[in-house]
Amino acid sequence: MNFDVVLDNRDFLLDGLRVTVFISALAIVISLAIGLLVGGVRAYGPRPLAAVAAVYVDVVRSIPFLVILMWLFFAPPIMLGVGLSPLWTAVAALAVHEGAYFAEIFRAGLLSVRAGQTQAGLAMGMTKMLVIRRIVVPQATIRMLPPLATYCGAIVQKSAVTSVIAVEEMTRQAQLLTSVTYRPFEIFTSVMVVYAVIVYSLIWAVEAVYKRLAPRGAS
Amino acid sequence: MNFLDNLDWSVIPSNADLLWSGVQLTVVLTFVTMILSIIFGTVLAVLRVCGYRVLSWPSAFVVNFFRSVPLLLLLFWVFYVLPATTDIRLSPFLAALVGLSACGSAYVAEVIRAGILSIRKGQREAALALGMTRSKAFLRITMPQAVRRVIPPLATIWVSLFKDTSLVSTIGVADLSHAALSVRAQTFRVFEILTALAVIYLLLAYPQAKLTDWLHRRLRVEE
Repeated sequence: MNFDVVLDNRDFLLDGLRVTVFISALAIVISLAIGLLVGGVRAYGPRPLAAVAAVYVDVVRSIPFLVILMWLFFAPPIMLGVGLSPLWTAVAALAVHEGAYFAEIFRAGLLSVRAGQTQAGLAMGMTKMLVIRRIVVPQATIRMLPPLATYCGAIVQKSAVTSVIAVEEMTRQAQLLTSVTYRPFEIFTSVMVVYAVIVYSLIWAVEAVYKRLAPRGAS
Repeated sequence: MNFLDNLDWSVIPSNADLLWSGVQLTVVLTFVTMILSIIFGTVLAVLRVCGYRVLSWPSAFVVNFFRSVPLLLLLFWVFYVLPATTDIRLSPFLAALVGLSACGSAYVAEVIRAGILSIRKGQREAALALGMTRSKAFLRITMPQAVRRVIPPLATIWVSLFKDTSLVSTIGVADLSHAALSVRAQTFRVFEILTALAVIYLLLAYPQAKLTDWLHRRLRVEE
């Protein structure tokens, strides 16, 4: 066992880490936007729109991420003649996939705020939008923090799967480095620990914030 | 829609046998993994809440580690790294089982721990006051109530496990994804195969997801 191979090639692995962080961060931002939109439509939108949103959520949640990723990579060039690069396919696949889970979190969060509060707001003369913005969303946001953190962690974990379409993120770099140096134990173990540290600290940090804010989210 | 004319969907029925054996393997793998995960997950959860730090800390470490690591890397590690470093050589199926169960046990452990902790302390204290021993109070009072509460989240884990088994295709286990990808390599009917693969997963997982939603509604606890 000799971890020098990891230290000697740290720049190569750090390049991969940078790509992992880039696609994960971008996918998290887009997933949040999709989740907010789709979850909001499912909670408050008109029936037909809510039904379309429900189909998106149900379909995406029933198909493995690997299959969504490969479909988005291989199908558009056949259908349209053009496709996305591996990197952007990775971001798109992660966002489409996790967006559905985020939408469920948002919907559950919004609907968890008791109806009496909305009614009270309306009775005080607030408009529906104002009630949602000032009363429902602030409490729902706090309640949604722990599951959101878990699924943001899941995005980082799932980004490893994009190595199968040759995105040069950390797992792919580890595979390439292993094929040159043949030190799989040191390289894969180190990379695994890096993932674990990123994902766990993300969840732990949000949990710490949540514990301080939780009383304000309780009703 | 020029590309529609070039499609040849006959590759799906002509390879139905291969895809069907892939479906069977996916189901078997999910089932066995779930059984193992429930066994090991329960052990990890009980160690976590038993009150002895020597047991609860290692359990917490194991659970948090396996929950934070990408499943794909875990599978690589068991299948490629283990035999290269030690004398342990597992078949692709066994390696898949070990990787999936390590991950699954961690998730199940968290669910069961949350279930046990959700039973109010007063119930256990009442049992102890009635003269039950600690283990009897746990087995007769806490556990039966916790079981009912953990069924819905366990169903959620089952559904994600069912989908996550697709990753074992990368270490050569002949599951549904692997079967489809090998048909793709032989026929070059990339669009038809990948679309069919997505539809097959959808048809299989959608009823499971709806059943899970129903369980969540049916077994909802209100205090």
